Amino acid sequence: MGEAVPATVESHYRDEIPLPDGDRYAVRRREAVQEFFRAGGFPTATQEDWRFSDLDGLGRTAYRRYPELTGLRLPEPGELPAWTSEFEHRVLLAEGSTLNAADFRAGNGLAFGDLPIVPAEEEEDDWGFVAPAAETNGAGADLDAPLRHPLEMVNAGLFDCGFRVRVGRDEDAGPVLLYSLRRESGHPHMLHPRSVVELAPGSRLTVVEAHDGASETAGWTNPSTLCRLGENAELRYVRVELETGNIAHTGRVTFQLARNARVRSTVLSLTGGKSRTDTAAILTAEGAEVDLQGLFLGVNAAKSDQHTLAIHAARHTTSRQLFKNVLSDEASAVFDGKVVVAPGAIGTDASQANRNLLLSRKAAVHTRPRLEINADDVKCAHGAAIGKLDEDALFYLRSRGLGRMDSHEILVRGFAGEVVEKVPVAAVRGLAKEGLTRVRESRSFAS
Amino acid sequence: MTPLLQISGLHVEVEGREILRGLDLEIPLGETHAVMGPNGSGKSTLAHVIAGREGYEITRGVIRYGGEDVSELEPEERARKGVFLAFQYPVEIPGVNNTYFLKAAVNEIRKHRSQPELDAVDFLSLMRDRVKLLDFDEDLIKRPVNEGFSGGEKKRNEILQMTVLEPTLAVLDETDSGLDIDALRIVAEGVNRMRSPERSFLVITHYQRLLNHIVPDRVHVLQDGRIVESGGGDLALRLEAEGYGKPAAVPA
Ligand SMILES: Nc1ncnc2c1ncn2[C@@H]1O[C@H](COP(=O)(O)OP(=O)(O)OP(=O)(O)O)[C@@H](O)[C@H]1O
Ligand SMILES: [Mg+2]
Repeated sequence: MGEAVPATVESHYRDEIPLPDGDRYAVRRREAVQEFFRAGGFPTATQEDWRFSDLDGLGRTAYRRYPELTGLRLPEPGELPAWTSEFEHRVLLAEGSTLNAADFRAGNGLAFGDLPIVPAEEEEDDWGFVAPAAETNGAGADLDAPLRHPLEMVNAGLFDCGFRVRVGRDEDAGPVLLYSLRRESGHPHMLHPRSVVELAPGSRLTVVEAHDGASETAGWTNPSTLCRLGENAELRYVRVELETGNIAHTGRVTFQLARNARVRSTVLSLTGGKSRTDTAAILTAEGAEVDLQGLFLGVNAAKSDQHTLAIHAARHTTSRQLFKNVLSDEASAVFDGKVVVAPGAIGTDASQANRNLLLSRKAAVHTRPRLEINADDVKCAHGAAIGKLDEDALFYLRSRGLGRMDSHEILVRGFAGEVVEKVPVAAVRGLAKEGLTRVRESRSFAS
Repeated sequence: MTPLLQISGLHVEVEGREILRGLDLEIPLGETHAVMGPNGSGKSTLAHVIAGREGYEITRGVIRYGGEDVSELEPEERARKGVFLAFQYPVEIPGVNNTYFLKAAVNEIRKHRSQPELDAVDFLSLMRDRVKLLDFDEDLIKRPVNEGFSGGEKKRNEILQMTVLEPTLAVLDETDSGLDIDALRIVAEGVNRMRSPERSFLVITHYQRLLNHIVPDRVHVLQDGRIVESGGGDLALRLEAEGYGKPAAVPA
């Protein structure tokens, strides 16, 4: 590793920064870098997709890398928050290190490995992914769009820790926790964790990906996760955003689904800072189904941007989207949901809903549904709602003896419950409860 | 003895519009009174203002409950003192489980009566008992409050809540509308079973048929924001036969 110098992304990319010996990804990393800069580098707020995401400064800030360049040691298992211990398998997304490694070798249908260690050549046998052009008879969809996301390329070039989880054919595994913890280093530092989750045909897996930690000095977390599902595989994916302080979080998760594969995903944003997550689902073959949900519990000046992209590249595929925001104080949210129906993807069934509860006059939300439908015989529904707590409902509860604060809280919990109750891991539902308590204790609550 | 409910010279404005205009009404403890009146005459406004709805501004007059002026009390404070309103249009509350909600309400009220809170087991057996008495569909109590309930199921749920919360003053706002004949009988029996010298009812209705089941001690006619006539049970029969006619001329 090089000296402990902070550097901008651009200079981190320069050839003179040596890559670790034996990094088989070195060449690909450089290619990703080059492509990123060829494509225009950091997006600016003038670009449509980035209107509400203020990335100004990310490209100009000199960041250190974690952990060598920040001088931080990795946390020990005992230093992690108690809720993480409820997981059978925990992976710390920092330098590819793993906690309770014994579990990983134990099997349970799971194989784990650092990304650089699992050889890229060891690819799956035929998992049933179908070339979209063949299936849809049309021009096909741009299936790689999520992977050409500019910050995806930054991650691909700079990823400092990579982890791969794989479930064997017809195995039922999980829950697995992928956990990144940011600690105060006293310097601006950035993290680029990268995870690949692979489900062989017929397998089932629950994965929770959590980003935690606080920082007073400017930090940037830019994780990427790619989930590939073979035929008939089923993934429950939960993403938890817990970072607070002066941290810019830009994360992505991309799902690739083969025939009859199913994904149920929940993004639980409990960020105290600013966070943007892009969730993309690529439905490559008939019968694939995704259900994307999100809940943001925003207090103070927290900001959550949720961007979704569902690409229906084959016939008879289904996508459901439900994103909810509870906004107190000056919290703000963006929902930018896109559905693309490729030519020939007949029988597509897509729905999208964004519901917002504003608890304060200073809270703000921008919502934007985008539908690109290039096929016939398609069901596509979308809707957005922005409102305050229902006065009639509040009176109803209070007329039964429940106090003002309690009645507000019950309604907020009811609103959030639709998403929280579907989270398959109790420890994560517990985090949502803590988030709801912070909402109740926020300045603007029931004011 | 002071009446349980004593309303005098009550003027109420809603969104700048005067709805109640000098309403007087007294209900002694242990009595059941019916209020009838044309659409829009202010019956639900009266019910809401007794329960303490925000935005219903009392510009003149006073509401006493148990001798105390409650005009300024919050709705929850009145509920804890034993006031209950069965809504004409019960509110759907998505995501809030019926049983959970009712247990929270019962314990809130018990807390204020210095009674010990009910644990899950005691509460469930209380619920079972009431559910059976009202012939209520068990599945409904597990669903979110009123969500997707039929009109009649919502009304029955109001009465279920009443029987669980055991109020001192129950205001029933058109609980009979939307109920089929059997449901009407079951609900009326539920109410009659609760009648006692320690409890009063204010029953708002358009129809004599409810009053065949719940026989009132007195009947009042609310018209144009005030009580224009009061009488015994036969008044309801006369109204049914003759209608309300023109409001009596009362100087403002
Ligand atoms: N929030 C409000 N804003 C303005 N006017 C209102 C409001 N609520 C009620 N009103 C008006 O007050 C009047 C009385 O309404 P109320 O609901 O008390 O009548 P009601 O006697 O219960 O009628 P019904 O028999 O149809 O139930 C009506 O003219 C109604 O339109
Ligand atoms: Mg009414």
